[in-house]
Amino acid sequence: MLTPLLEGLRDSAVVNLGGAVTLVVDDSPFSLELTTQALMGFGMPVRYVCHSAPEAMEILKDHTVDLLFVDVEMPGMDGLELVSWLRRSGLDPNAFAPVIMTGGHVRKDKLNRVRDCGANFLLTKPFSATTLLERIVWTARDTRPFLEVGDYFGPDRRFRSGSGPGGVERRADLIRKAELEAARAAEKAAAGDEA
Amino acid sequence: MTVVRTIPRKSRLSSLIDTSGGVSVGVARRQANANLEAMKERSQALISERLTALAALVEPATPQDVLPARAEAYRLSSEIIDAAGMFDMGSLCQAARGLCDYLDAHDGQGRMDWRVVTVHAHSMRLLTSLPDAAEPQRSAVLEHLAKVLQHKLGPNAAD
Repeated sequence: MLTPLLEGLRDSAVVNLGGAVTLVVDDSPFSLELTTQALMGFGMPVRYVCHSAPEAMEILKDHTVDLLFVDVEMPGMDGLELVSWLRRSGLDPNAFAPVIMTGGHVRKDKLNRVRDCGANFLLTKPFSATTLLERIVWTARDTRPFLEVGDYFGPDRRFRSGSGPGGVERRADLIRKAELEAARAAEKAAAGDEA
Repeated sequence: MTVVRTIPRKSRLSSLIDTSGGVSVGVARRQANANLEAMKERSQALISERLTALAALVEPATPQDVLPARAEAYRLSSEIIDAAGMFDMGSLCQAARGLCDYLDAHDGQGRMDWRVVTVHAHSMRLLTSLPDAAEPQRSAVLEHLAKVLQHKLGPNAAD
């Protein structure tokens, strides 16, 4: 079954990912190969693979990259530090490149850091090839501007209503407003019934 | 006052994806699934190896041993998720994630019940041996593990 995002992207829709320069960073060789094989299936050749963040930094300093897949947990410098460094690196255009973070289990103390490091979003396992493709397409069509707010530099962390990958509103103020409006509407309807 | 600087930026990827050529979504998915299927046997071997190592871990004898033992169990459990994560092994991933949650909740300072590690290792082995059609049995195993975590971590264990 197609997920909501891919409903508009039927089997017959065509995507061209062949020209994108992709970098995959993962300390697990098997996990890295899984990601690479899935991407190759999408017609997306993986130009660079790295087993550590410092290795990726060297590539990012010298080569333009269109899309990054970064594992959250890595020994030494982790994926979050790598993305924070990239966003603040001043490397143009790489500092603005879309970043999809991947992870098996994300420790509780890292969850907020995922949000604050400047990644486009986090994809936690298990996920299927379909979900991965969906996220790539979503990232490519992501129109959120970059924001610099205090220590944060990265894509606007607020999703417009229904525009997130799951099509679900995530902004607390808008959720509360919608709940309030629904409650008022229910009250009004109940009052009307009584009258 | 916080200053917000907005930088409108269109990625090169957004232009590339709509250029002529490429593949259909259906073909892309089929090709990716075929590539992954070719790796399934290696994934299962890796999972089996990690489960054996996890089950063989012994309860730390001294307080100094707790931290490295916990780190090793976390590593093995994470690697199970990594190996299973792109195949249809959601129940195994769920069990492994539960164990990671438990280990993550213990920073090595407090008392950790090592039986949680053992029961997860054996339950995961059971999950890998169940046939595809054994959905009720799979659910029962996961339910049991959820109860263990709830008992150990409190009502917010699944959060």
